[in-house]
Amino acid sequence: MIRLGLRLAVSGGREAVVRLVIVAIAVGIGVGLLLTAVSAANAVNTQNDRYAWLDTSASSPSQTGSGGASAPLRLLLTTDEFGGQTIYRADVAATGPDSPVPPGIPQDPGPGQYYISPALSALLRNAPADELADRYPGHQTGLIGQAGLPSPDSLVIVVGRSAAQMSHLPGATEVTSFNTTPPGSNGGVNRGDGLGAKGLDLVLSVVALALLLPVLIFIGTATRLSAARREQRFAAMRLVGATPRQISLIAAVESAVAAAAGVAIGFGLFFVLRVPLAAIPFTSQPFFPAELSLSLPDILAVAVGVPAAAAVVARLALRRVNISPLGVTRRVTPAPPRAWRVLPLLAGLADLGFFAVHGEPASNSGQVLAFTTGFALIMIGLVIAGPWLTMTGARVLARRASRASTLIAARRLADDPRAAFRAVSGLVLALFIFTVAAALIATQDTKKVTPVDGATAGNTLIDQFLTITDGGSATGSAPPPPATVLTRLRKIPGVQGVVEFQADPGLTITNPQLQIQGFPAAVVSCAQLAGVPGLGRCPAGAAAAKVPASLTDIGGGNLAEFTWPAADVPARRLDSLPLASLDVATNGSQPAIEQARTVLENAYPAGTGSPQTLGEDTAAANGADNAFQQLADVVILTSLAIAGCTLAVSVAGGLADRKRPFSLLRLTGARLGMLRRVIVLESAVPLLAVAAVAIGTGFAASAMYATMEMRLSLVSPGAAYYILTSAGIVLALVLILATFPMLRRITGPETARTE
Amino acid sequence: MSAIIEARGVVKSFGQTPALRGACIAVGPGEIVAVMGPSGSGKSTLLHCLSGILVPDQGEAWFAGQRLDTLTETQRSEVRRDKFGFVFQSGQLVPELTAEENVALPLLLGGARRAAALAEARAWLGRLGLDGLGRRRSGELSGGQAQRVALARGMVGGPQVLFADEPTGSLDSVSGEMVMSLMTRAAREQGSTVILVTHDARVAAYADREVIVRDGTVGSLTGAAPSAGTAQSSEAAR
Amino acid sequence: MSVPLTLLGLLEREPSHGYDLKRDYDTWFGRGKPLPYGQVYATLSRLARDGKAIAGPAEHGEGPDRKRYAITEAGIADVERWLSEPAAPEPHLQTVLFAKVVLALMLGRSADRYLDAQRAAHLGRMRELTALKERGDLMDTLLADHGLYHLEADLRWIDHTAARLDTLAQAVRQ
Repeated sequence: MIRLGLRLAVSGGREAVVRLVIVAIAVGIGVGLLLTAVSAANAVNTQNDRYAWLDTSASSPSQTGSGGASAPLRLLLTTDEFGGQTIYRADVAATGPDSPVPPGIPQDPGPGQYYISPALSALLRNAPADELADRYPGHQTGLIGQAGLPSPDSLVIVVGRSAAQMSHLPGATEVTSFNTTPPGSNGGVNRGDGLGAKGLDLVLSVVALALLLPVLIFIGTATRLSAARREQRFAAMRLVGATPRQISLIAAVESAVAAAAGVAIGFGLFFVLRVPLAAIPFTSQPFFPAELSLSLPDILAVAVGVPAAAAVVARLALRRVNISPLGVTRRVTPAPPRAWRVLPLLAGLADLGFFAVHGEPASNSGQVLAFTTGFALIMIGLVIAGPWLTMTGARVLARRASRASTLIAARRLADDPRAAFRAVSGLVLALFIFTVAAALIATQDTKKVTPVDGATAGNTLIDQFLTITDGGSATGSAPPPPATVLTRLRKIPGVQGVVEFQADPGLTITNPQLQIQGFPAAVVSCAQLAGVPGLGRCPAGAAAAKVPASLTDIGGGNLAEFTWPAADVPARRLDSLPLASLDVATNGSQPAIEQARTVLENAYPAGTGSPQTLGEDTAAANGADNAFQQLADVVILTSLAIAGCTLAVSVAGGLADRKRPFSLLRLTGARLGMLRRVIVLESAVPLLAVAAVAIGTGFAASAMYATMEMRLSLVSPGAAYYILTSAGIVLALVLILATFPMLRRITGPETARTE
Repeated sequence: MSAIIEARGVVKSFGQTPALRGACIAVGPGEIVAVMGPSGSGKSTLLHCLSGILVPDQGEAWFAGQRLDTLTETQRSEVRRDKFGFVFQSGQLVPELTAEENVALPLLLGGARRAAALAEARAWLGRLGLDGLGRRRSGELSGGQAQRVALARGMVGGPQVLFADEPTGSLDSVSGEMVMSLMTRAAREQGSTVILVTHDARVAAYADREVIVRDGTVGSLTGAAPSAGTAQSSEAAR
Repeated sequence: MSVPLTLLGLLEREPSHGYDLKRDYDTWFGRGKPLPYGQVYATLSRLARDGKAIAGPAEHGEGPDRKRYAITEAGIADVERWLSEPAAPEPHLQTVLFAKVVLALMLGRSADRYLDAQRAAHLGRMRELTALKERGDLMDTLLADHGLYHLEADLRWIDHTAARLDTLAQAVRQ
């Protein structure tokens, strides 16, 4: 029996082989995507784990262990920046031989030594010393191994210090061991990768769903190729006495063979794509290729599970059809799709709507559950509701049809809406995903921090000591800089001036244009401000002016045009005030910025974060969106491509189905032009009807998601979206039209012969 | 002589349309009976009920002293495979298999070894004048050849009953004659009973007697009961 | 074409004059060849002599035309037997079959039964011819085929007529 099934699947003539190949390719794409997603999840988790040690602090859970308690490590973790890239820096001082050692290095570096990542080492060699190397005291002792590097491109340095030096570094802590797993869902370090663990779970689930569903539809379409002939063949076998069980076994074998071939193709695809895939910075950092790995359970699950699932699905599908020995000779029109089919779609919209009104669930997993359920219900709901929508649209069209072609098309559609919808279902899902992604990204963009205008302001390097808490109060400050530092700063080519923002507690400033009210203020000397035109003006005759204490926390506006209010602070007091921030205006060239940054870091090691220009700060805040956008682009392109394949396969298959009725129509006098119109209408009506619903639903779902999760109202996506969507729909129609040249030949009189 | 295959009061409807309303027929072993009637009269439905393809709504179908219509789908499939043969008008061969594989199909489905089944199939193909065509697919055969392949498949398991439904319907007169001649000869040699549904009198002339299906019931032209009998007894009934 | 039996059948409807019988015969069965009066009266006399019909009293008028005949019990039995007995299945028996069907309808009998009986006879003959083909030589086969095709043509006509019996009955009874 199995042998018979194999025989039928593999050497059953050209038609059977073509079908086998197409199904195998479809399954191969699905398996390849699945393996990629699984391995990407593995890689992301591994990478996340390797960021973990950079989040270690005294309050980390890992500190509860007893190991190393006798000789804790003095540790200060900071992040730095160079040329737009993040540098992770750990200053360490061992207190004893048992002090914990950061991963990837053999031992704690002593004072005057540092371990460095290969990428940073290369950077150090190529960059001028006063731009980068001067930040790190000592010499390179060795390279950090893979265990300590999240990514091959990571810039990490572990600087050795003496205990005395460490005690002068504010913010240094003592730890007894390093984290091996990320501390919390929104964990610690601002890595600039933008996708914390929470975002990652959500995105991976949506991506998996968004890719898997079009692939499943593609597989379903491919499987349905030449279904009529296969049913007929099964009917002939039933006549001769094959039991239903034997038939379903044979069908299962056929499916399993195709699926097994597909699995092989999928694994092949995965191994080929693995290395290029690792280089794509999904989490803004590439992976080590070896990390895109599959565990043995993963491999077994896919290699065994997919053919097994295919066999099961084939058996279930046959159960529904009930092949009788008389097979397809007495085919009754299948029952029309009922109105209940819209329920899952409505349920998904209701799910999102409920949370939009009542607010999202509190826990991270609860949120993921709510969103994923909502979107999953909507996507599956679109696929389920499609036939009913097609039928309803067709009936409306039939009532109002005045031409023969419209009537024929409408009636054929109303008669078998499922087949018509199947062809375009992939496209419809892709449109939904595209709409949601485009709308959400456009909305997210409005949240982007509007950078302060003006080139000069953007290029101002700011070492910020005073931070504004969520409650609006200000904490932190630094002692005024020694004169040598100011001199050295001003001597850097490209530096236009230095302004000291001095903190005066209780001073506030209100400026509606900058969207601040009662904002903590700092005092600047008008003399210094005059030398830096990009940061605003003093009122005439004032000696000191009030400015916002932190330029990074205010809204947009061209600072150069502002005239700050005068500050009534006597000169003596001015000298004693500590620094809120030290702002260095540059011309924006990288050497100027990096040299200034080096000087500032050496003068003020371990400030709250490294000095950044306003432009870099804005870019970091927007980093999340870029990663998300990249992922969305990949998902959209992939699902559109798959949907296109589905449509192509459907159209080709549909052509074979249409052969006989259309050739008979031609024989009775219908012109080829009318038949073409019928085909276009038959394909266009479901496409347009359901596309409209998909796009509308996409906007609705995005609006609700935006309201509940992003707390923004929906913004219309840009022109690119509308152009691409129209282009996609037009392309689908073109694909349909592409079959026309074959139509004449296929519906020629010889086809109408009784077979 | 007792009947080998019988229908007693069979009623069968399709949706609202009644096809058989209390059809009764009894066929003795070795008989060749033609079932005639206008189109739509339910002759094919009677054949389907007698062979276990369909289950009657009411009434009974008997074969070799056992109820056929109360068996499960699987059991009826097995009876079809082992005890019956079928020759239909068209569309009964599996296009993906070669001719000899098609003929061997009932044996293969019954669990026979592949080599033995194919040998038996080739023997039957030879008996019907199809030597050398075993490796062809059904699409490559002429109508007459395909029907002979179907006949070979019907006979390969040594069936007790051969069911034929318009076996020459798609054939020209010469091919049709050849098929009918081969069919009746093979059946008589093997002692198989033949139930032959046809509207064509020249095809029915190959049978020993005929019954008429009209309006869902079975009758004979002479008014006698359509019961089991030999060729002689149908003459005597007149 | 059995004229006596046909006339007898026509007579069974009601007692009639020879003139009426000839007129009806010419209408339905003459097909352009009217029956000679002489043959009509000769047949009627013979039928009366054989006891199948009875001549009524002569009526006033010119000559023997005005005698009215009526059918007897024996005559009725003869007609019935003739109708129900299938004709020997030979080619060219359309006229006989035709007559039988029309008469049956005129007399209000069920033509179905006659047609069925004829079908059975035809099929029996076809069976014989087929068996002959199977065992005979080439000439036998050719002749048998000829006969088979004609018999088939008859059967087709029988089927066709059977399908139109209602319409025919109406036409006949007007």
